[in-house]
Amino acid sequence: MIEKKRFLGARIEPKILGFVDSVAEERNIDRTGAIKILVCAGWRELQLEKAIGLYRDGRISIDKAAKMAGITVSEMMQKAAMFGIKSEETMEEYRRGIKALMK
Amino acid sequence: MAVIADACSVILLAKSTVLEELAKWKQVIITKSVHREVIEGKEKMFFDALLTEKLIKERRILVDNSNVERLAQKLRDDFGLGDGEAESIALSSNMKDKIILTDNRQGRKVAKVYNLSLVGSIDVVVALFKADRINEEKANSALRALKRFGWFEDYLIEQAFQEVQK
Repeated sequence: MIEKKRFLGARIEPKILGFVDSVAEERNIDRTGAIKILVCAGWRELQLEKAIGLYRDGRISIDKAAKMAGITVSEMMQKAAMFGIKSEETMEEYRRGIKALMK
Repeated sequence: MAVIADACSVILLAKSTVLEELAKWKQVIITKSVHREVIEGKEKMFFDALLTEKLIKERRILVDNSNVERLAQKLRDDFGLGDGEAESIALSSNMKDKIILTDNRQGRKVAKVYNLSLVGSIDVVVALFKADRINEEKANSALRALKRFGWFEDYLIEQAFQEVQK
């Protein structure tokens, strides 16, 4: 089924139009195609930021964050590590963990 | 004793190349959603996904199909857990003689709320060494891999390095 397309008119600053034209030139596509690429890339980036923030604040788990950002759990873990987010395991939990496994 | 692992720990232990050793030592169980979350990486040829699939085919890792949906849904709603994490904790709450293995902040928090026996990937590496399942070289190599990944506090990794010296 062909998706119905909608018209969008927007006033944008020359600097932003420069980004659009740069993508259009690099990929040899028109401005509409370039805008779609930039909007989708921006959307993904915003979703990732949101997911990382919620994970960092202890509001969601890493698998939920991955789903929100549209990437795999493995990729989300790498992103979280890049943002310096650690597991928060304490020394006491570590010792208890070893003890539990050795039983 | 069974070890119920979430996607996060399966991935970390696979990357640090001790997942197979753990699966030879303990009964490792994952839920359907954890299976899906790890295997998603297969399309991108992630090592962790390929190794996990191999271990499942060899029946070293079991995929549990128990219906724990009622509690899992509550955990998703109350604590913002994803499908795999919620199912893992729900399954752990239903089973006797088990440990939950997770390195996920939110998952660890919920496991403590439910008073579950909780372990992490660093604990697994050190325990494998202490139980003579891996040698000093393998333990050091696994800890170096975990350190490189940047998921754990440095003091914890340094403590683990000290404990795997003979």
